[in-house]
Amino acid sequence: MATDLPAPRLRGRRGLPSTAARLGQGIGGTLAVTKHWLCISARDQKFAITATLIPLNYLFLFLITVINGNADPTALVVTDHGPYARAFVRALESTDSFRLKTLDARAAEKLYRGGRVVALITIPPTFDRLVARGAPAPVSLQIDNVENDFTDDVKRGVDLAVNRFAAHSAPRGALMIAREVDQHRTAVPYDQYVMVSIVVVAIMIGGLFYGGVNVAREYELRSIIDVLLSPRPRSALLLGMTLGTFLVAAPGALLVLAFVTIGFGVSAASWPEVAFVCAVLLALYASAGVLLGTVMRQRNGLSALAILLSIPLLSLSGAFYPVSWSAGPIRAIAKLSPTYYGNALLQHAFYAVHTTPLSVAFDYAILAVFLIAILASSALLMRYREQQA
Amino acid sequence: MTVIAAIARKDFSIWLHRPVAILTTLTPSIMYVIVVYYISISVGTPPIAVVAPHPGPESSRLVNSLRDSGGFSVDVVSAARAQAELRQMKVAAVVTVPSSLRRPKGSHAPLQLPIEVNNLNDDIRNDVRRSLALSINTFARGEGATAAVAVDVRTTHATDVSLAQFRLLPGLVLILTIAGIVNTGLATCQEFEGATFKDLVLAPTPTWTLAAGKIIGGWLTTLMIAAVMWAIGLTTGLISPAAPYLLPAVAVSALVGLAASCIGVAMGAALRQFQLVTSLSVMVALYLFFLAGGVAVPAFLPGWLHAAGAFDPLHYAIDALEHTVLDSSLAGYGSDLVIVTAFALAAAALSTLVLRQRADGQR
Repeated sequence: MATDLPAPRLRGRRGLPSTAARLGQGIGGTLAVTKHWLCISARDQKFAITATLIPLNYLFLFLITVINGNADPTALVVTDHGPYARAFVRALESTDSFRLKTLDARAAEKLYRGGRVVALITIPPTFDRLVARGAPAPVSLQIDNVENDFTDDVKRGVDLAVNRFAAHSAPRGALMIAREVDQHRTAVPYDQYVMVSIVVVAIMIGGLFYGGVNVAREYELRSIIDVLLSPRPRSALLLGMTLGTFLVAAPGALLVLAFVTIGFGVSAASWPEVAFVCAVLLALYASAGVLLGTVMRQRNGLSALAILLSIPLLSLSGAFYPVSWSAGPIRAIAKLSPTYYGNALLQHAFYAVHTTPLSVAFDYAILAVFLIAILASSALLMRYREQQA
Repeated sequence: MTVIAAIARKDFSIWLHRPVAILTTLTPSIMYVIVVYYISISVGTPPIAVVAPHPGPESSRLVNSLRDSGGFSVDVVSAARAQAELRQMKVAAVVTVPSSLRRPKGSHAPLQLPIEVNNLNDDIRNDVRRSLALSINTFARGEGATAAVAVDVRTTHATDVSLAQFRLLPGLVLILTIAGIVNTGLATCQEFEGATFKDLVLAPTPTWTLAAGKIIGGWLTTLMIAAVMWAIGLTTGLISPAAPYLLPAVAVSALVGLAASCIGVAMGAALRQFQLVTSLSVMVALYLFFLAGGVAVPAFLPGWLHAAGAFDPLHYAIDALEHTVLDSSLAGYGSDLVIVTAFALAAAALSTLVLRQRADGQR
């Protein structure tokens, strides 16, 4: 390491380095540390490959949960084939709340008992006769109520179907129906919406993991002393570590982005904006990784921290629904996390919608503040470590 | 036994003397609990702004239906403020109560209830639509309208389980798995990186005692984390099994920790490099967790994943925890326990085998 960082030679008047010389030293120091970081990755190829694949694996794993969409898998048994029963089935389909499988009673019961569907709707043979008579037609709804959120979804989905059926098909009509006006031209499919947030968190994992582990290793092997004793400016060395982390974590981020855009056909409203946001986020998390490694100075626990943090931070980023609709404590915690702002910016780049109450420029400004604060904290901590060394 | 105890004690005390490692494992776990708890409160009740410019008993009844049906979190405001809140993403929709809520006599045409929806994604839009239908049907019933369809709802389980409770049990399994695999894996591979494994091998003791010592050391650290998680769960009431089912549930979580520690020893000995153990152990833990259906209701998972989950021991651990904690039932508990124990034993045997190979190499 020390051989990569030759002592500065350029001197200005009065023996002090001139601005140009200081700048040269700084750039030289940054590049030397960056080169060192790249050399480590080149030497430890197994680690480089596995670490590059971590963000992609993370994407795969979370995709599993959203790939089947958000409609409830439901078995439907139709024992009346009259026009009203058919209209009710159409009403159920129109709600986008169910993935309906029309089956006979025995097969439906088997799927329901086996946990392959969460609900079983049965339309009885008397359905058409009762509707025609103006009497309430009974429909049976069995719900595997393993948790109350999706139990409510199923019940309300049937409520929506009943309301639509009554309004459009039943002889007596419905008392009231919604007249909906949408704020946006189209609604983004749920899986694509969540995917964008997963990209943000995958970038976070890459930066924290690579930066943290590499810096912690320098401390564990004590090779950090070579860096700290270098006459180069601390800020330059810190930037070198951040840039090095940025470069080695970039392939992982690009892989994730390529998979989402090419593999799943998620197209962006503005590609340059996507590239810019991803670069900003990678720089931010690379610097956060360097800070994390400097704080911890040991690899033990660091990887678990980077990965375990990703799960609550994904929820806090607004991946599933806007944070502004959450309870006060969640809104407060989310605002302390850069993933919240990063996610809003990437959603803006992909879907041209903004999901934080503030402007896009303000979100960028907050990320810049985070970046400066992280770099400053790392610099202060490095100086402290230097004094210790 | 002395050798096993000595190795276990050493690994456990190293872990105890690394507050940073303890903190880094516990902080995200506690954060996970907080986030899951608060998010579960707001999920399913999107906030809406209601504009009711024509006061009257019918208008009040409709507003009450919107507020009390449980579908929304309602804020009654002026039209201008409602629009501002919609633009600022403070509400998911704006409902405007129409001037008349009576149908002309003899007419079957439904009244129109205007709603402006923030259709950011189809999930949000559908949530709002469903919740509004619930409120409309509640209002219609209150107004004496005969429903075209009477839905007879029957549920499988006696009581509903909150989203927080449902998410926390798999979360507990995930945290124990990651903590077990990572901590034990790193403790094992450090013996190789620090060349202390040679000293262990030269001791006049069979290899299985080395494996047992490493496994027990790792297991103790995992049990500490399990104790903290259980303490949080029981104190907050988020994980609160009925008294007779507490011990079976705790036993399952302890077994998960044991199985994870066994995997950790095998991985640490097989990979021997800190960096590789760090990255791969976390991924193994995550794959085991996701394949087990840890983040979703099983019926939502693709068929192939459902099938793959049958080969994942965490699937049985989560199943056993859900039965004991949420259903107060021991249905299938025995078979779940046997499978998780068998997996732990198989992983222990594997870790002994790998350590033996490494020991033979050293000798």
